[in-house]
Formats: sequence, structure tokens, C-alpha cells
Amino acid sequence: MAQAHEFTPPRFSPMRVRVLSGLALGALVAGTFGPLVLPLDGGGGMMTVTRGLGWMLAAMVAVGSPGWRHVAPGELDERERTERARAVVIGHRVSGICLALAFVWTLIGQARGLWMPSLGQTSWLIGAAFSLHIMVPAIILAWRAPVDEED
Amino acid sequence: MMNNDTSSLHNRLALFRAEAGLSRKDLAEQVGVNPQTIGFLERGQYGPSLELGLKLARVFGVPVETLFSLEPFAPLAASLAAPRIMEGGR
Repeated sequence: MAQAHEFTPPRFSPMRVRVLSGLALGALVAGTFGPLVLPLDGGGGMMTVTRGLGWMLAAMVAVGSPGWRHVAPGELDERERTERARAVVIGHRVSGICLALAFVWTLIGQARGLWMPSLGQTSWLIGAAFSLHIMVPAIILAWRAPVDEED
Repeated sequence: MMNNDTSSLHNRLALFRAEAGLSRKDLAEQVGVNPQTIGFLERGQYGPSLELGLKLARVFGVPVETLFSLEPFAPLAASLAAPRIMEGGR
């Protein structure tokens, strides 16, 4: 029987996670919220590429940090497991708050006739929310870890 | 022992490690943790599990209560000076 090759995800340094997540957040904000508040063509090439870049960087952060992704047994020590668990809990809370706000907005928006996103804009917003969801634990872990710890 | 980030556990890990001439990486390898975890322990930002505490004590060949305490340890200078003060007082 052929032996299954196990994928070993990379482990980015805290500084790399900080830089990548900062770039991802910038691209997501610009590509998602820019067209909503500024007279920009959200469906145009520039904004589409910007959003795509944000999603791609968010995916890199999620895979390169033991935050949201699966962690192999023995990959983390006891402190790292504790910190990861707390970061994941905070990430779930942030996502829950975002969901609750979106829910409240749709309820009030229907009744009061407030601005509601189009189908395309909804997909951008959900993409940004998902990207944020998978990045938050990694961001917390990266900012908690000392970057240059002298020995 | 505690597994939280605001540990009220005091330790002499840095002192014992320096005296043994071990780097954080060396010590981390001997007890099977990330070197950053040794830094967190030394700064009192993390309280180890009982298992890790016992492993650390075994590395230095001391009882676990020599390495960890619920009460703050006396400063090293005060501990060294105490016998001399006692002798001088006799």
C-alpha cells in the first residue's frame, strides 16, 4: 500500500506574520471597503486584484501560523497550546461580534430602508470577514511572541 | 503549578540556567519545549505544568521547590550576605 505523504505546513516567524497580516488587512480594507465609501469601480480590475491579494495573503498567514489551521500532535509545547487556545477563542468572539453586527444591520436596514450591499458587495464583505476570521488567531500569537529574544 | 500567562509562581530558572552555562535553546531541548517558552518562564509570564516543572528541576538536579516557589525568593545578594552577617554578629 502506498504511504500517504503528510503535508507539513510552514511556520512563519512572528515578524513575518505581522508584516503579511498587515499587508493583508490593508489590501482587504482597500479592496472591500474602498469601493463602498469612495467613488471607485469595485468590480474593476484594480479592486478585484487588491481583494484577491488580501485573500491570498490572509490564506498565507493562516497556513503559516499555528493559529486557525490544524496543528499536528507534538507541534506545539504546553505554553504554545495554551496561547493558541486563547487566541482561537478571541478569534471566535471577534467573528461572532461581526456576525451579530451584520445581523442587526440587516434587521434595522430592512425596517428603516438603510443602505444594503448588493450581491457582489456581499460576497466581498463575506470574503473579508472570513479572511479576518482565519487571521485573528495568528495575529494575536504573532504580537504576543517576542520577535528578537536574546539568549 | 499553573498554566496561565499571569503566573504568581516565582522561579530561579534564569539563575540556575546561567550557573549551569546553558542557553535557553539547550535547556529547551532538554525539557522538550520551544526556547521562547523558557524566556516566558524566566520572566514569570507563564506558570509551567507540574510535569514541566519537574523536568526542569531534574535538569538541574534539585528539588522542584528549590526552583519554584509561591513566595518571592530572597535576592541573591541578600542570600550570600546573610551568613557573613551572622558570622560578624557572633
